Amino acid sequence: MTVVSAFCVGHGPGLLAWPERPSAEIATPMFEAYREVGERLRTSRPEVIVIFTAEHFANFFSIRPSMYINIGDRTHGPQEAWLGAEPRTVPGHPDLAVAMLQHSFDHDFDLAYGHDLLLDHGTIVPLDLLSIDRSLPVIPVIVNGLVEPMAPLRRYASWGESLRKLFEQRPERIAVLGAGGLSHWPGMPEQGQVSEVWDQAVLDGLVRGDRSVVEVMPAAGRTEAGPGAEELRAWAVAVCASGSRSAEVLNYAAVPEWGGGIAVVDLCVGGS
Amino acid sequence: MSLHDVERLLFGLNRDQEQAAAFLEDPEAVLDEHPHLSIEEHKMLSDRDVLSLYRYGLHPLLLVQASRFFGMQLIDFNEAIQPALGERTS
Repeated sequence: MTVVSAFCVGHGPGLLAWPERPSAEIATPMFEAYREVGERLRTSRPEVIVIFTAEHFANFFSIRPSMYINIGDRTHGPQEAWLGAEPRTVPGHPDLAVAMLQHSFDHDFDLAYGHDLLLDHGTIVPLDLLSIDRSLPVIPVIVNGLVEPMAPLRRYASWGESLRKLFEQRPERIAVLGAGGLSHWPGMPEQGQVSEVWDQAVLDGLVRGDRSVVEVMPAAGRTEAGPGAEELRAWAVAVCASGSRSAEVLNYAAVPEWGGGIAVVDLCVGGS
Repeated sequence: MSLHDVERLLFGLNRDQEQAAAFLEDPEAVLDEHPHLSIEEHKMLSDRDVLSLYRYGLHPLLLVQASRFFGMQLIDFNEAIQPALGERTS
């Protein structure tokens, strides 16, 4: 089997913690887009979800891997009680996760791995907003877009391309999610600013099937779009691992109340 | 101590609800357990001086997470660090 559906979505904690803060004109279509993606994902009948996302000091501090995969049989979250999400135990998929790990090693990507990742909003927000069934196995994969120094974007794109070849050979029906971004400045005085121009350049590139937007940080990324834009690494792996060659933007909005630019994107692979 | 050690302290507090609550209640009692803090670091933390901590170079996400056990609302945190607008890119 191969990838049956793939999507990229924002994972801003405000989507769960403060759903009422933006106007209904902004919030309603955004939540509707997440609901629609959840529906498309279920329609593709995945047996496992692989989510590429960030973690935000829930686990890693002194030791911070560039790429981490959880190979255990379950994870828990959210770490943040203030998120307002109901705590959930998420089943893992050790068989596929270990295969991804070994495949990565065999192709010169030296991942960190473990059994007990504590999930934070980076994973919980997409799972909740897409209403992912609590019995569906999920493999959380963490990329470092949080703390410098960081591996370049192209490294994640290359890794995703490598994983795509594994996914094509696997028996499972796999759904791929990339979670994060777009422009935002978490915890900085600039918090709430949005670079719609930068965000749109990324989205337009994905729609055109222009891989360069996830291989090289679009012009002046950090300066123009804030440190949060570094989460594009999660999208880079998802785009390349899924084999996406076009995309449909279900919704995009600049949402200062939720801290940045938020997009919901179907990567148009498999049945999606 | 160093910037990294101060960040480690906040990282630990953010992951330990009991210690975070203890800091909220009595920061000095918690800080006394970290005698290697410099006088300046101790004061910034004791005063919950997020602007100085930001300018000291703390990771912004660790700092905004700490604002919860500093007893600050997000809107007040944002206002407090506004004088540092444009000073950092990460």
